[in-house]
Amino acid sequence: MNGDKLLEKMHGLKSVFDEKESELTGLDREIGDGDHGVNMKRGFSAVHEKVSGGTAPEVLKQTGMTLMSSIGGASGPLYGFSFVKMSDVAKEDIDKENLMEMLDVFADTVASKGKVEGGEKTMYDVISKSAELLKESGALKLDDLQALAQETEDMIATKGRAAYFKEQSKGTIDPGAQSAVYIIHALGEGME
Amino acid sequence: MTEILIISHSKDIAEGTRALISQMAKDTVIQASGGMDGGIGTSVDQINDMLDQVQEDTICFYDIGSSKMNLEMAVEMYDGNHTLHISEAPIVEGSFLAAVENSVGTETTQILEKLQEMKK
Repeated sequence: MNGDKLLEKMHGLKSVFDEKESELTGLDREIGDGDHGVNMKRGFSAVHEKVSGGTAPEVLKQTGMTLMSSIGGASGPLYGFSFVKMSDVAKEDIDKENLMEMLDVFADTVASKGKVEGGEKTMYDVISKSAELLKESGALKLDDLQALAQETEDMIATKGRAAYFKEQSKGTIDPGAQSAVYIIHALGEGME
Repeated sequence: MTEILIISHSKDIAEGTRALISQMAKDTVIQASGGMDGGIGTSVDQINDMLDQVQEDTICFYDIGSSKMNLEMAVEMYDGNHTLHISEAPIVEGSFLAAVENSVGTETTQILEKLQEMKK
């Protein structure tokens, strides 16, 4: 995957988040403040508009900086900063092995900056297991990623706004875990 | 000399804290920013903009929630020549103490030690 291919994927996430806005908003309305759908849509609309190309690391960095500037709350900066950090390890032509390395950096960044670990009903639950998924199954299929997000449904949130809902946060998939499915799916598409 | 940087979820808190501490420490350089898109929030961009203006080693103060995360990210991406410290002290009391200590000539490391004693 070179810079052009990666740019195509990042631009493609605009239409994904246009389509999934109401789904993410619905989840976030249950256990958060209801702005995750519109935030992700705004973020990737900005990426579509502003990120214009370059090498793969450059595209990652531009995407990250754009997400950080265009989305408020915690998830936007976490995604944005993770893209910036992934650009440090990405090669100009990203292969499967390099993608695993990037996903590890993605997980480490979210863990350290979001102060989060596994099982706390967050985007980390999907991100942290995706490198392993790629290693074991050789691909990042949408169904497999969705299964990881599904696991957050029965978890009780202890981080972020959802933590205020305590036991009541059970029964809803974490909105950040859901948006992570789409982002990681886009990164892995065509890498099988 | 040490500079002070304040990032808050609220423009009024940022400006109010700056006004409060400037009165006590007129010579101390204080940058303050708060709020996002006319509402409540913080962004990495507004912190980056302040960090671009830094001329000396700086102690940074934040208020709640994601302001700390955004501040940490901006500090980690900073590639300027000055040392940036993030203080865990409460935004008003901490920045007030730092500004007053700075105005009487206390070194940055000693200010940081004093701030340690008033963690959130």
